[in-house]
Amino acid sequence: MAWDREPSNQVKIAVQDYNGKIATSDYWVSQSESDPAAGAPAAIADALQDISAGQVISVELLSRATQNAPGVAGTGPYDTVMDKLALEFNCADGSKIKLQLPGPKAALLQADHFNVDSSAALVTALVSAMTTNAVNAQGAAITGLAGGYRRIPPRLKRK
Amino acid sequence: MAAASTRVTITAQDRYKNEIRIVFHVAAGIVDPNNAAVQAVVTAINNCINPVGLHIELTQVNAVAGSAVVGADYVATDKAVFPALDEDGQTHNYKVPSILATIVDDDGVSIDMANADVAAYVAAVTTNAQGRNGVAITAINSGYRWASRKPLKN
Repeated sequence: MAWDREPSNQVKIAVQDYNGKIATSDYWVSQSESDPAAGAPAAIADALQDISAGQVISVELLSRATQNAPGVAGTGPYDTVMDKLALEFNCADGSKIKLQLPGPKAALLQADHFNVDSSAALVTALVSAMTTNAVNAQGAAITGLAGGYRRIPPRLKRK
Repeated sequence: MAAASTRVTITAQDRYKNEIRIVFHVAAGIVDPNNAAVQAVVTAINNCINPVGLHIELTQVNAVAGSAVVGADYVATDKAVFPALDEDGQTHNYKVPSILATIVDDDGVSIDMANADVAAYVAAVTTNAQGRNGVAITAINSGYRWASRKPLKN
């Protein structure tokens, strides 16, 4: 089981004209490119800007990988992607982020089938992985789990 | 403004073949899906859910400040198309939106490949771009203006 990386990274350059309309220009560059503001993405964006009356408003660098042995999806009481467990995390800058897990395993929940069991081994492992490796969109560290609950698919909600 | 973080998107599939995306962020500068930090979170998420992960996409966005040229002749739907060839002889089309009128020949269609800025763009693409399969771009010999707008009615 491994993630096979695509041979190239994608660069998407967004250009906005004076009417506010946005168009994109797409390229593929080396896997080694790691910064949309430097190297090949910046060189292409700068050269493009010089022949465009629009304004380059963003340069996006994307890399992708595909699982070569994804295995078989599990079964359980919440095994569809519409069943979600919403986990809220506290961040170092005072904000909160929400991570929504589709098809959560039943072992993540308390006996009420609704609230997350923060002492469950799978939950503590996930919280540890998040606080050690993940950040919020602004780059602030994640400090801990604030709480979590199971979201009921809309079609099953009682009116 | 440089990217503050890298967004990681996992595409997962349940037993009914429905797909969904899971999003989280890691430190800026990480672009390898096999990076240890990314894989630590992916593994922990995979262990918690019934669906299985199929794809990962990592993305960073660098925002650029500035303003478009007001009243320019060509807008976002007016593009210069530069057909390119790679080492295998495959064709690629690079499109530049809202082109400057100064790089269009008098016929209103052809791109002036002798223009210094056009030559610099061609050099930037042939030096830095490649095909999705990693094959180098070798040549861009011409360009033309392509408009998606409908012709004006008489």
